[in-house]
Amino acid sequence: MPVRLLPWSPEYGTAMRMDAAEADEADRGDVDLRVERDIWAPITPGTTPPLRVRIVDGVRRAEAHALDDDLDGLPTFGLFASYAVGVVACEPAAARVVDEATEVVRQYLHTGVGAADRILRAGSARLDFRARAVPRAKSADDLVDAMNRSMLDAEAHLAESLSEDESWLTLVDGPLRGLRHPGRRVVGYIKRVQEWYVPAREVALLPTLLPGERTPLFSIEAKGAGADHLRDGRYSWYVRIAHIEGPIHPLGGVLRLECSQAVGVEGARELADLTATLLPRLASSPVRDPRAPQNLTPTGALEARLTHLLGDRRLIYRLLLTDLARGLAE
Amino acid sequence: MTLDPTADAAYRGLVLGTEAEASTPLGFSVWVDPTRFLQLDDVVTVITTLPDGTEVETSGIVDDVRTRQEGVALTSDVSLARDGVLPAQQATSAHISVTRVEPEVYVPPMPGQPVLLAQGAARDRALFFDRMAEQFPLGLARDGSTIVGNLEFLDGAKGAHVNISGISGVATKTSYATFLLYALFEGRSLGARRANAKALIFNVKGEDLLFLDRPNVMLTDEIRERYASLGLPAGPFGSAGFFAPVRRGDLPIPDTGARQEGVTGFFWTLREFCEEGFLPFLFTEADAETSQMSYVIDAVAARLAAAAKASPAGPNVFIDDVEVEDFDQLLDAIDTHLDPDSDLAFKWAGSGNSAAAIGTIRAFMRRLHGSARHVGTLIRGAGAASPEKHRIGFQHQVTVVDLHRLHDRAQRFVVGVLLRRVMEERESRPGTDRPAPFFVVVDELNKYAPRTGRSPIKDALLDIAERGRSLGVILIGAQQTASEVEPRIVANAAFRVVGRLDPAEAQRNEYRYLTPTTQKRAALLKPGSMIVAQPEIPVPLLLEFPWPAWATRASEVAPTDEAGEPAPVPRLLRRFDVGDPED
Repeated sequence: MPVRLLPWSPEYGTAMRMDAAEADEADRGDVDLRVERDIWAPITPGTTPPLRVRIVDGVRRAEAHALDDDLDGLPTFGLFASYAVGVVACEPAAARVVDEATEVVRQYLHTGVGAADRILRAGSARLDFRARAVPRAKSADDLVDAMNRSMLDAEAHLAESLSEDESWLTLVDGPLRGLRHPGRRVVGYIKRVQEWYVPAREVALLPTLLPGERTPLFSIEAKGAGADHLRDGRYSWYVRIAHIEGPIHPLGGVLRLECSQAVGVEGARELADLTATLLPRLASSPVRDPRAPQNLTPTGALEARLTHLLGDRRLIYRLLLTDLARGLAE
Repeated sequence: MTLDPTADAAYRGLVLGTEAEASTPLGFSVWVDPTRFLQLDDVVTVITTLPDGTEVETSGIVDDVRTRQEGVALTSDVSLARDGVLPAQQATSAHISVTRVEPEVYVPPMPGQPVLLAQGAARDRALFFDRMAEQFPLGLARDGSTIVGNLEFLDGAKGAHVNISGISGVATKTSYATFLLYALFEGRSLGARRANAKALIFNVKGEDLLFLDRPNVMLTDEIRERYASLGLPAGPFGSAGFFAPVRRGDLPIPDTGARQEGVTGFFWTLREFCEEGFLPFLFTEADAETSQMSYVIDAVAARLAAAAKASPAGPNVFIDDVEVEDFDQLLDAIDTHLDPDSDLAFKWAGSGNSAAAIGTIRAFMRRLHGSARHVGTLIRGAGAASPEKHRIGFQHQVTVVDLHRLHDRAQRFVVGVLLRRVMEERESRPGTDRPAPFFVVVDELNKYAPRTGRSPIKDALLDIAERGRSLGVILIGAQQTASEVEPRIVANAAFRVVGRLDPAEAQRNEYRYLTPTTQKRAALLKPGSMIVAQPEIPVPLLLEFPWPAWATRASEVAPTDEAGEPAPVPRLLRRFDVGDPED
C-alpha cells in the first residue's frame, strides 16, 4: 500500500499515537474473534434508533510551571494546573452542554511537602489553586502526567454517575478501565488506535468498512488486576465513522469501541449496532475540527466550552504573576 | 440595592461588555434574559454607581436586537445544532441608543448591571417628557403609551413648523397632519388659546378632507380607546368650513364631487384681484422669474392696483374710465395697454429706452392668457352673486379649501393668494406674546417650493417658514421627497416626520437625523405609523396614530336621519361651530 496521510493536524499528534491511557494495554489477555459470529465480515445494523447519547470529556491546561524550595532548601517543582470535565447530551434538536454536570478544578501540584493554597481574585471571581503534593513525582513532566490523570479520574467519575441513567447511551473518551461501577450502557471509544488486538488478516477488513458498518464483536480477556466490572474481560468492535479517500489513509476514519463483558453478548451487540449508526452522524468534518473525524462534533463543542470555562489563559497568568509579586513584597 | 434587581418585573437583562459589544456612554448593548424580551423602541434605564457613590441614570431606546447561536462557527452548523449533534445556545442582545444621562456624567454603564424597562416616570425622563412644560400628543408608541411633543417647539415659542415626508398613498402624510390638528383643536394642549387657534388646509388629492365635520361610521371601540388613551375625544372636528372653487357659468356652485351641501363656492372679485395685487400669482412657474418678466408683471400689477383704488366702490374696476365687468375684459384692457404697436399713449410696459422688449411683452401675454384660461372663472365682476358670501373666510376653526378639481396653475394661484393673505392678516394684528397659532397645511411642497428657482409661492412659503414663527403662523408642510424641497423650509421645521419612505430617498442627507436603523424602518412603515424627530429628543421615535374619527370619504359618513340632517353630533364636539356660512 502506498504512503498516505493520517487525518489529524500534526500539532495534535496522530490518531495512531500511543496514548498514556493505552500504554498498559500490553498486559491484555487472549482475543476471541468468534464471540458474535464465525465469519469476520462487515455488519450493517438494520435500524437507525433515535439519537440519545451523552458524551463525557475533559480539557486541561498547565497555567504555569513553578520552582520552590523544600524544608532542606532543595528545589521542588510546581505546576499551576486547571482542568474541566463535562458532558454534552445529544437528542434530536437539542444538543446541549449539561452545565449542572460541569466541573472546573484548579490545583497547585508540587513535588515538595506543605505548600500553601493559592487563591487568586479577579473582580468578583475567585480562583482557588488547591495545593496537592504528588508522591513519587520527580520532574515537571511527572506533574503534567498527574494533572492528566486527575482529569481522567474526574471524567471517569462523572461518566460513572451519569451511566446510572440507562435511558442514555454514555460515551467515554478512552478505554473503560478508569470506571469502577458503571451502568450497563457505557461504551468507551478509542480515538488513538495503536493496539489492533486482531491479527493482520482481520485488520485488512477495516479499510473496506463503509460508514455505518462495523466489525463483529471480539472479546479481550482480562489479565491481571483490573476494575471489577472488567473482571470477565471486554467486548470490542471497530466502526467506520467517516468516508475517507484519496491521500488520507482509510484507517483514519475507524474507531475502536469497547464495553464490559458483564453486559453479555446480546447487550454488547445492541451497543455495537447503536454506535455503528450513531457515530457517523456525530463525526466531525475537517473544516471545523483539526482532529476530524474522530474528535466528534459534540465533543469538539464541549471542549470549546470547557476551555472557555477555564478562563482566559493570559489573564490567569498575569493574576499569578501579580499574586506572587505581592507575596515577595510582603 | 439590597433586593435582587433581576427579580424585578421590569428586569430585561444585563449590560454587555464584550469586545464586540462594549459599553459606551452614548450606546451600549444588553444581554437579554431568555425569560424576557426586548423589542425595537422599548425604553430602558440602567443605574451606574460611580466610585464616589453617585448614581447615574442612563436611559435609552432599543434600536437593534440581534439573536445568534453561540457555539457555532460555520454556516452549516445551524443544521448540526438542529440535528442535536452540535450544542448551540441562543443568545439575544439589544443595542440601546442613549437618550439621556442624569446627572450629566457621561460614563458607560458598567457591564453586568441590570437593565430595566423604563415605565411611567422613568420613561418620561428617558424621553425628556418631564422637561416639557406644555405637551401635545404626537401619537402612541407600539406598547400603547403616549408619545408627546413639546408645544413650545410647535407654536413658535421656541420653534415652529412641522415637515412630513413620505411616499404618496402609503405614508398617510395628510392623515397625520389632520390628526395633529385634531389633537390640538379637540384636546386640551392649547388651553385658553384653543378657541382662537385656526387652520387652513388645502385639499389637493381626492376628497378625503371634505368630511372632517362628520363622524366616521367605521369607528370601533378599539379606536375610541386609542383616542381616549391620548386624552382625546373620538369624533369629527367641532368646527370646519369647506370651500371649493365655483364652477364655470354664472351660478356660484361649488365644483366638488361627493359633497355639495355645506360647501361654499369661492371666487374673488375683479377689485380684489387688482387692488390686492394677485397678478403675480398667475406667473408661478419657477422659471417665470426672469428679471425682464418680473419687471413687466410688477408694472402691470401696480397699474391695476392704482386703477382699482381710483374706481368707485363695487366689485368692478374702471381702467381709463372704462368699466371692466369680467376677467376677459380685464385681459383685453391689459392687452391694449401693453401692445407695443398700439397708438394709445399709455404704455404700461414703459416707453422709450425703458420700454420692455417686445419679446418679453409677448411672453408675458402668452403666459397671462395661458393662466387665465384656468383661473379666469375664479375672478368675477359685479354680475356674479354676492361676493361676501363666496369669499374664503376663516370663521371656522378648520378651513378646508378643495383644490383637487382645479388645474395646476389655478391651484398655485389659490394657494399663493391665500398664503399671502394669512401672513398679511397676522401682520396687521396687534402683536401678542404668544398668539393663538394659525396652522397652514400644504402638501406637495416640492411643487410649491422646489429646491431650485424662485416663484411668488415659494417666497410666501419661505416667509412663513422664516417669519411665521413670531406671528404664530405654523406651516405643516408635506412632500414625497424632502430632497426636492427648498432646504430652508425643511431646516426651519422643529418637528420632522417621515412616513413610508423610498429606500433610496431615505439615504439622502435630508434624513440624516434618522439613525441607520430608523432609515431602514422608514422603508417598511405601514400606513398609520410615522417616525417623528423633535428638538429635545436625540433619537427619532416611531409612533402610530389612530384611525381618523372623522369620515374621510362619503361612504364613511355616519348615516343621516329622515329629515336628511346628519345624525346629531354630541354637543361637546360642536362647541366651535358658529353656524353654516352658506346661509
